[in-house]
Amino acid sequence: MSLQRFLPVAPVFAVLAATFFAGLPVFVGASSVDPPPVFSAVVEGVDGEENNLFRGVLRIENSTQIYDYRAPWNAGRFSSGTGTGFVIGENLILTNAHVVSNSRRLLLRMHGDPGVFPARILHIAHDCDLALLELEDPTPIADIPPFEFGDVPPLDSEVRAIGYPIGGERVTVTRGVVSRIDFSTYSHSGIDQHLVIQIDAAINPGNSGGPVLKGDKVIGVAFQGMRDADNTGYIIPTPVVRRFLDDVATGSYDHYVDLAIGEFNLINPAQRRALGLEDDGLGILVTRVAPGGSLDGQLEAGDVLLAIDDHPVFANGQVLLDGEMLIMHEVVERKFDGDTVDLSFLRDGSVQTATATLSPFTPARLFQAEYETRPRYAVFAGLVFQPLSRNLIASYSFDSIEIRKLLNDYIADALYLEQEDFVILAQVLPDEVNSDIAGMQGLLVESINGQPVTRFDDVIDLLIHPLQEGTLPEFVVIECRGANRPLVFESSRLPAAQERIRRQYGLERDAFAGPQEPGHW
Amino acid sequence: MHFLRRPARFSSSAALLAAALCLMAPSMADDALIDLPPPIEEGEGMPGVGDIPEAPPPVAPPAPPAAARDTAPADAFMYVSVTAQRYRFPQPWERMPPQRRRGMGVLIGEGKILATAELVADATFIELERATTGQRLTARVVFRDYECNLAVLEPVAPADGFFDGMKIMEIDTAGNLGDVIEVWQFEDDGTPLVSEGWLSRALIGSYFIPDRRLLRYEFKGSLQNRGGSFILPAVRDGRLTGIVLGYNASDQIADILPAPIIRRFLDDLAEGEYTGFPVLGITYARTTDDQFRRWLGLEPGEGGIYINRVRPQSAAAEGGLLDGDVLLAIDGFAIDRRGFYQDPDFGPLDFGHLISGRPEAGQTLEVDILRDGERMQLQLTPSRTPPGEFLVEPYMFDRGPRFLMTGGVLFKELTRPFLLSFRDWTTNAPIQLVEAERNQELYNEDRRKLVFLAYTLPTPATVGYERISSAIVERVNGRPIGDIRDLAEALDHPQDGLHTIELEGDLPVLHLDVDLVREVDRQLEAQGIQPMSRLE
Repeated sequence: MSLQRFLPVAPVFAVLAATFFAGLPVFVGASSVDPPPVFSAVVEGVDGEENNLFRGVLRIENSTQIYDYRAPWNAGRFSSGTGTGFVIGENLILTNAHVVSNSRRLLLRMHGDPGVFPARILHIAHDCDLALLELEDPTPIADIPPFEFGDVPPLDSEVRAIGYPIGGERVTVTRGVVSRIDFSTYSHSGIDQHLVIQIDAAINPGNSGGPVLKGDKVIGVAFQGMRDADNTGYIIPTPVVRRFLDDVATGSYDHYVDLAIGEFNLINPAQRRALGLEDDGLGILVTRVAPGGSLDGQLEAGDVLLAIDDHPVFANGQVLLDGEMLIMHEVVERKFDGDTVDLSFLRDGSVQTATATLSPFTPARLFQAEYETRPRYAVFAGLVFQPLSRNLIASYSFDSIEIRKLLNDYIADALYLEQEDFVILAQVLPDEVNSDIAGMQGLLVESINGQPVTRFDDVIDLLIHPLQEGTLPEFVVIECRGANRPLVFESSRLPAAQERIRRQYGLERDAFAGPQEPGHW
Repeated sequence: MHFLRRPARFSSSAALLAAALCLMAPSMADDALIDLPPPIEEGEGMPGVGDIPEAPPPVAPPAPPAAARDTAPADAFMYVSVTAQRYRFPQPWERMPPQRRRGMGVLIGEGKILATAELVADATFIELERATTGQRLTARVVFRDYECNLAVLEPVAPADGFFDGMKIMEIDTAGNLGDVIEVWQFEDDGTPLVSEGWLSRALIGSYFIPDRRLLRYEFKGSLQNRGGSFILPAVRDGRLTGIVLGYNASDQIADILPAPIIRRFLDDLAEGEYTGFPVLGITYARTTDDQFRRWLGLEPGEGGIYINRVRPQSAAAEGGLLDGDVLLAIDGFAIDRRGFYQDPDFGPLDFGHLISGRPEAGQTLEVDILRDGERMQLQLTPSRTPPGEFLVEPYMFDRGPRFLMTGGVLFKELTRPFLLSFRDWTTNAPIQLVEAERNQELYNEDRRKLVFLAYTLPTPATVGYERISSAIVERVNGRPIGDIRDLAEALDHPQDGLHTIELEGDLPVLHLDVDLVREVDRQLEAQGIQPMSRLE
């Protein structure tokens, strides 16, 4: 993952808006109901070896539970979808994260086999849209030779995609060529960018997670398409796949590391002259070093970055990697938490070097879509408090000036250093105790009874617990940014109101503070 | 173009929605109010918040039509035909295509014609036309105040008989709810078309600038569409009782800019130094929530509104009002929990009238407040800041926004009309500029205006700068930039053949090659970007 989309110039919200609402890549996984088969089997008559190849491609049926951020106390929506996975090792099946996200039950089917095989997730990486599965009983795939991975293919290479797209039940093959190799957004998380390969073979809903082959080697995993364009399928290339497999080889997924800097190109001749740079097309201006990020204390705003790991950085922010011009963040794309990177940069007229230890930049996860996570919430006097997240903003379509400002400043002003969570008064469940403020929503909670609110648990500690223990002060005063007045409640009215609201709105509990929460409220 | 009236109130979908809610269940209108930002008394508000209908006060039934009508008013009215060209705020070197508007003006003095400011905004050509005779005369604006939406016009050259037989109209400030009033129009042949109705309601609402709210009348009656305009004189007993600003045919209600406001505008003007309609500089919330009221220490029987923000350096701030104070009464008029007081003439009226409309200009108000449980009195003197003195000008007509284009980099002074030019501007206007406008008092006093780099055109000088836009300018060539003239001055002092542009936030310092800029500017001018700057 790279920060450069929301670091220097492009406001964060523009990124969010584009991925929430615009016709960016759409998933090709998860078609919910397949129509009855119309065609005869497409694989009849293929020879035995090919048939073995197809047996290694499995159809994945995922039954899902998707939480509702607008009613976080509910169980959410139960649904299902299908996708594709393929065997890459002994009882190891690779697929897309989005094919198996929010899963409650996973069933796999194999070409030419009537059996249904329950499976479970070994590792799931939402930031690169990959997941590794295993069958509960490995026997059915024990004799299947695993697929082997190839390298990034040259443009115009002929490739074929295998999978279980909509339009029938059976395995399907489509062909095309490699159209483009690029660095692009993975729409599953909505914010992460990695290497992608675009192909013109038809990729349709249900193909997700399926192998794309050049010859008999896998060169990518089909994962997304583009809504408004023809014959543009996107696949996850093998460098990303290998990185994921290497990462989980340690037993857990540690996420991508990030330089966590903002940069600005240095292609303007006047700017180069002012910085005393030669006209050699090298170097990029560092405009921000995120506090708490990998390069904090190593680089400073104003430095000109000349090389990363001995790869010269060109003035447009790209480096030459394996013969391809790619953005410089690709250098650390293949590294892991704790790895180092060598930097060469110009500061105050002299070339300096530094070695930095890389780590993931966790604050940026605010902008990643969440899966599987049961949303945290607290209901107090009908006020629904929820921590700010991408899912929350998308569910409610919050776009007030206050929320826009917060998202804009979050990285820019390193707000994440001061606050663990941004608690939002997301909505009000109307009741006589709150009838005067029933329309308020999307406000940032600043303080409760004068205490600043910097994490979601503050709401639990300052409102929910004292309410249950009868230790609230006479008046509860909640200050929100963007509200036209403090929200005030008389504590004497609250126990009855809480009970009434719980009953009226079907709340089983007043709050859910996260998987680690001690007991129920 | 037929209806001249900008759809400020009646065709605004928000107002319609509020009206519809009101029809379904009156209590829902109050709910609808809750999600809106606090009603705002000046400057930075949500348009029309105060316009959501409350239950109308009881009104006397219409009086029978006047037995004999005085036809003299016909001789005081004339059409005012205007050609106007608005400036294009995103491309400030351009004007929009010309628009034509027409309304009715009223002769109020020797060669002096009263019209609405909205009618003559951005006018490039103004022509008067006698409704009864068809005579024409070119006119110009002597004075206008967009906040009260009034303007005085006069002929450009000697009138040459145009005013012969015309009568000067008196202003009638004694209107009361229930009075029968006439709205005057004319047929093509000059025959007067007089519609009778009655003054059904008085309220505080906006005329033209959405967040400037003053006394407004409502006329209940039926009007016809004649001559494509509902900017019309309203007459009571042969005297001017107001100017109709717009008409809602389905409700048969016309908005009227009332005589007391006209009278005050004209008196203010006659005194020499125009002061206008003053404000305090506060925003507030209602105190309809009992729990909130008890926390504040309010008695059940009293009213009061909660002051949530006192704008720094405003009249309210100078008089000692603080955030969190509760305003109980002004000049002895108790303010209720929703912000209304009982006006002796008009019944319940928004307290804004006690600040902007009712007192004499410059008059000090006796204000009762509750602060931290204690009752106290303050003296506040409302004042008006002319629009040009704001760091971010709240509105702008008759001149274009100041800007400077150099090398393909467009610099502008930030104005509110620029922000409003974005569709759904609170969602789409650049957030750093929206915030700068909202917090303009936080900027250093050395800044007279906020100069920002709007965007860069792709030119040889701006290569690599394509992503830079909507950034506030700190310094150019080492000099602080307080307004666009500072910028022009600073650009005369490049160093080593380079311009240096420092921007707010963590944006890179930009540099432009002076020779290249000069060449690019020549090309841009040749390509039709003219003028390349507007510094005045």
